[in-house]
Amino acid sequence: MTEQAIPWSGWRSGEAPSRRPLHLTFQSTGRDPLPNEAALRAALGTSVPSYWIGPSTFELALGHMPALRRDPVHVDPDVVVVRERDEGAVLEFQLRVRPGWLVSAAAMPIVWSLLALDPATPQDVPPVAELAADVKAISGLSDEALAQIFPVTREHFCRWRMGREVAPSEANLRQLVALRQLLRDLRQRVDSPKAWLRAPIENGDGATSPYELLRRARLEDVWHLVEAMPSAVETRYRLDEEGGWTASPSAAVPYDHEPDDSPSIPLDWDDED
Amino acid sequence: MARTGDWFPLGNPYLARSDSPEVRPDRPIAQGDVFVDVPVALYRKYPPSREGQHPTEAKQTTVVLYGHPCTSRAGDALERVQNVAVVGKASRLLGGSRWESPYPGRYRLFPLPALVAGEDHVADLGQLAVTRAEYLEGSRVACLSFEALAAFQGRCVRAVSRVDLSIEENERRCTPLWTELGLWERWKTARGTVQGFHAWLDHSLSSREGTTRRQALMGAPEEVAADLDAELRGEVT
Repeated sequence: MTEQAIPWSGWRSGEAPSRRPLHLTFQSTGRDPLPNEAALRAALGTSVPSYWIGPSTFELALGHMPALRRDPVHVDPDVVVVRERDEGAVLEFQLRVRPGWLVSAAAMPIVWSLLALDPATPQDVPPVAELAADVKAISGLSDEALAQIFPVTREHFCRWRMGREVAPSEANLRQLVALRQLLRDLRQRVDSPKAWLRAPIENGDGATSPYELLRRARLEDVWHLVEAMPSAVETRYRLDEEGGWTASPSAAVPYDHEPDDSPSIPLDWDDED
Repeated sequence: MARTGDWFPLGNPYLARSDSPEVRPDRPIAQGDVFVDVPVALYRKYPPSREGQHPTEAKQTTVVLYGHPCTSRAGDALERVQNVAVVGKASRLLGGSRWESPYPGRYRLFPLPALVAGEDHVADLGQLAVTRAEYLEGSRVACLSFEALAAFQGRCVRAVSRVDLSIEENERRCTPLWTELGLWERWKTARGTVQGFHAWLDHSLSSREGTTRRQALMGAPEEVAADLDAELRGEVT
């Protein structure tokens, strides 16, 4: 399945949540609540429940819709794959996501109708190009070196980065997103990601550097190396709805003093059948 | 304030579910799987033991497998003794109070919506028990979806440490395991046995020199899956 990026400029409303999931907020135009909800669900291949947040609005969290994910392969929250369905659903809606979400080209008619946008709308920089450019900028590696990670030719990687090819394979797309996620985390821990990626390592089973591990598709091993280093990002604490503090760490292990409000009598065993 | 679906998937949280066992018999028993009628031994938490009554006891109940496969397995086989968390009906455990998506607070609990006969259940990660591996076999009624398994792992972390890892973090960490479980199940379905699977997984990935398939579960899952396709077609990889 080919992929096509939805341009960031196409989003109707701009609030980008700091955390997942992707939220779609649909608003029906009449008094009847969402007459096309069933069609929409059929189109998206899901039976996810809706959450009414107003008399004519409901909210879906697409980030967890199983139908939007490939299974059982690597899943990255930046990638959503919508499968093609015969049914369409035309609803006015507001979309609140962050940049970089990708939808299959096959599903674009549905998406465009949902977005109420003209498919011919000029696109800004495609997210694939953003991804590749981010990867290059953060890593400091050459196109040639980055291409070997996927592996594709240098020219191929260049086409991604320059926006000349917006539909890499699904595997490469996921790998681009995963690599950017890794590099963003790495950036919080070292002054020079490029130097770190090229630095010698021990116990690499023949690999001489983190970059070499990436070239061998050993992303998990590189994550282990990255996580072994302290992060410059401070752990953020937030007051949650229960009045307690919750830590959102980037790397360091935090601790919060949130009391557990689970029921104190969790099990009535004698009555269990 | 937590947003809807911030930690627990809004969609179907089950890869497979049935009111009676057994679901996905070829899939390896794994963390987050739910089993019914499992004999367990536990230190009774409630009701408090009465005078003369020993607080430890044996029960037969619904449980969720607690341990990560790295803990609960030795190669292909399950460890003889397994840690499980007790599961009960939400209507009883919560005393009529509503606990619905986005499931705020109650960090010791993990929701299992519509687990059996459409009835919501809850796993109590603070009520752990031990059981024998053979009691789990053939009694599985649910396997969690990828998103729910990642959420389960994150919930266990939060229950014991109060660390709230992001969904992205949980899912990234869960990815190699999830990929392995899928491949493992395919192997069992095709071959009728798990024998040889782990040796195959520890063999070199055909497309990447110097990397085993296991090492590429996160970095190149499609390439590992392609190797399995070739293996099951009888082609030398």
